[in-house]
Amino acid sequence: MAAETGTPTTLTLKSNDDELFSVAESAAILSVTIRNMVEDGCAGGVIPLDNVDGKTLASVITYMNGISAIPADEEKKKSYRDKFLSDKDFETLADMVLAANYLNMSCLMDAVSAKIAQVMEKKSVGWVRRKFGIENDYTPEEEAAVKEEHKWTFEGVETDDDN
Amino acid sequence: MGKTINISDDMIQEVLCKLPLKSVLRFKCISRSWLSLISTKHFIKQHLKISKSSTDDDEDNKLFFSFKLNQNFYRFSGFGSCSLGNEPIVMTPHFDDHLTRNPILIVGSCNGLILININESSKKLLLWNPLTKEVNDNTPPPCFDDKNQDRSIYGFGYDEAQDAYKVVCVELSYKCPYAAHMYSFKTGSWKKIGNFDKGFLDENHAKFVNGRFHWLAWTATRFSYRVLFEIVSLDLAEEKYESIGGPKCFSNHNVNNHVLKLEELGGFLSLVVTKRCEHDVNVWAMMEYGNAESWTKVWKLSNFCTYKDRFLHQFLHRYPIEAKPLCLKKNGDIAVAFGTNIIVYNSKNEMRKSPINTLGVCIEQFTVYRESLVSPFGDV
Repeated sequence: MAAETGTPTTLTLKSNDDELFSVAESAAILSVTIRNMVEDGCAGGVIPLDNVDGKTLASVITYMNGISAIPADEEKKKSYRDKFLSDKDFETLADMVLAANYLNMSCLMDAVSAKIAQVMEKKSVGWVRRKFGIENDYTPEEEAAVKEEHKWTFEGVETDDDN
Repeated sequence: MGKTINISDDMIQEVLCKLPLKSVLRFKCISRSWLSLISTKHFIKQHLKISKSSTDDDEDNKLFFSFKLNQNFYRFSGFGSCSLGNEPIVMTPHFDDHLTRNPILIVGSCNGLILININESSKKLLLWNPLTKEVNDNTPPPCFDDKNQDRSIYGFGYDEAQDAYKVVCVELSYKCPYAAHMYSFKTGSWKKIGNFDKGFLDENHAKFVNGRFHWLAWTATRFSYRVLFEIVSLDLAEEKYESIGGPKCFSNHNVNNHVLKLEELGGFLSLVVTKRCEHDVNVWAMMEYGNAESWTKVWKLSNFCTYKDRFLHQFLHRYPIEAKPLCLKKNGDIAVAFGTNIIVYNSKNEMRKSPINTLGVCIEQFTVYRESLVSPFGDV
């Protein structure tokens, strides 16, 4: 362990497309999934992360390093998270929410889902269906009824930007 | 078109509970499964929790009020709501089909639900969510001896320990102690609780602040005209009455020449003190609940006729009407109704901060609430 050797322990993480990343243990254990592996002593060699691709894992590691470098200051952590997520597009955010869920990182999960909510806030029903791959299972009558009931919520909806 | 994402319902819920209510309601149109997810009690509670913890929640304050209306030679009562946030104050009428000639009382609100009492042949309680427009009128009237029903006062709140919305009813009679009853929307039944024996009550409904009901109780000292008051609270779960200290300057003080009214102003337990014979209003608020030292005078309107705001002076001169404090924000702003108008003041310098917003109707009774998805029918 770090305390015994005097040098920081490094872990090697492997993405599902076989990219290898090394990361300081102190940063990696922000993920409860990884922390459990370390505590169970199965983090000796390479830690395979079967549900995360290389591109997403690289982002997550950037986040892990960035946030763990900030001392316990919620304001600063929040502004780091905001900045970190500011330039991410919807697809990247979606990959990150899946990764955050798999890695069990509640702070990243909260921040990413809040960011997705912010992106979705003024989007149309059609945009959300396309992005989330949701099939409209309403009958035309049902859909008309539910739309009529919530008519006022369609004011101020942005025109779709994904075509 | 970009790729679609495939995330679980749990993660979708995680995202949706961070959206504003307007977006959440729009996304009920996405699919049947999103509609049912958004309608679950678990989702509604989580959304409420997150919107309560947001920092600028004062901007979401809404006023729900009753007003009187003359139509076809009859006098009707109706309901309206308006925002008390930064947007211009515009009234939305509610319940067009619920204009009533019967006396109505707004008991109070909690988590976006409003309890209304309509005095038809018997007292009728309506639990209403103005956002979703759901109304629960199945609440049985209090089933106790109803000879005092006309003089019963109510209170509406939420018992976090039992996860139950509750109504308290005190039967005012000509002698103390008063009989008291509690209704739980969870069990759907009334039960008798300990008598109210802390003094006389006036006809104002109990105020729900910080998980407890509050009343102003009066006691007259023997052989003198001294009238004393006490703030009494009731715990919803343990059903115990307790006294809460009021502002120091009123303790053990004769309040004969004052009119005192207990209010809940934007979550603060408040006392509105009007001097008789003078148009002089003082608003006190308990800034930190439970700390009697924290009572602060948050607003005053000295003699209307000498008030420094010239425009208001002219205006009040024409309409010598009651000043009704509505809502105190955490930043110290206070919204006050004068008849058909609402004015926002900066409490620090007592200056008018907003234009005079005219509602067009005169606010009779009111409650300040924040919209939510909470169903008046309880479990979904």
